[in-house]
Amino acid sequence: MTTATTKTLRLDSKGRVSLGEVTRQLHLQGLSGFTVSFDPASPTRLILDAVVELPAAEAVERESVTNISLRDARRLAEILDDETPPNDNLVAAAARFAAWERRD
Amino acid sequence: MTEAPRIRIEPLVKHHDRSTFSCGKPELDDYLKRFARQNDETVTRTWVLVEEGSPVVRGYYAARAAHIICAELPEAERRRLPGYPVPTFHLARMAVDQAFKTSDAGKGQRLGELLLMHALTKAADASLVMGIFAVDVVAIDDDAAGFYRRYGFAPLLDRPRHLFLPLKTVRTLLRR
Repeated sequence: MTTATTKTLRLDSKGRVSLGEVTRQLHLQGLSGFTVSFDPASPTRLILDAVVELPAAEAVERESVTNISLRDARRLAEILDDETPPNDNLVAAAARFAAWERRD
Repeated sequence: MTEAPRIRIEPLVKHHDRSTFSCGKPELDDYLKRFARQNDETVTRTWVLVEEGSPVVRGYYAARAAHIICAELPEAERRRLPGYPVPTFHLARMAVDQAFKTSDAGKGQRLGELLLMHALTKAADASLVMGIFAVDVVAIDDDAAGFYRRYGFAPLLDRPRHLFLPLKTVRTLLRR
């Protein structure tokens, strides 16, 4: 399933979106893996092909982020492309911790 | 049968009783008893593990801002970072009272893991308002280093007991 969506991102005073804001939004959406590419039509346009963790594992959501600086876009692409996933022990610990937090 | 008191993790304050704390490492006991309060807020922030309704400290960790020299990071991490030191959430000390760990109330509770996960959530929260590259820790001995490695912490180059976990891994884990 492929869908096109638009996300609302906070822009700074110069009309740019920060790297931190893009990353925050992606995490808020629970995205677990990304491929990032430049829009061939515009050097300041970044296209994120994000795989969303859904029961339908093939679900793919495409997001276009505009007004990001070229430098930040390159840096973001590097960061997202090389993410270190949490190991199994850490994932299990997080699940136990979440259960502990919910105990009340 | 009476249910064991619930465990809480809260900021260290004056009323907490640190006098009986003993984790088996005198320097960690000493820090809690002598320096944790006087360093609080200005140098470190200390969080303590207690049983609900009791002031007795059963475990703690102390956290502060620090940095890692990029040249000490593995190549895969270094190539994406600037040449100057990068900020970290430094887990300065972490310990659990030995007697409590083996007591009926503490046995099997994975208290060290609980403290570590609590610290990681605080690091993730802090990273929403300031730049943090990683959570880092200097393990007191090889056993402690093994504890952190089990959760994915990696050593700095030539410093097997100075370990770090990239914040982006923590945020992915906690979805923050």
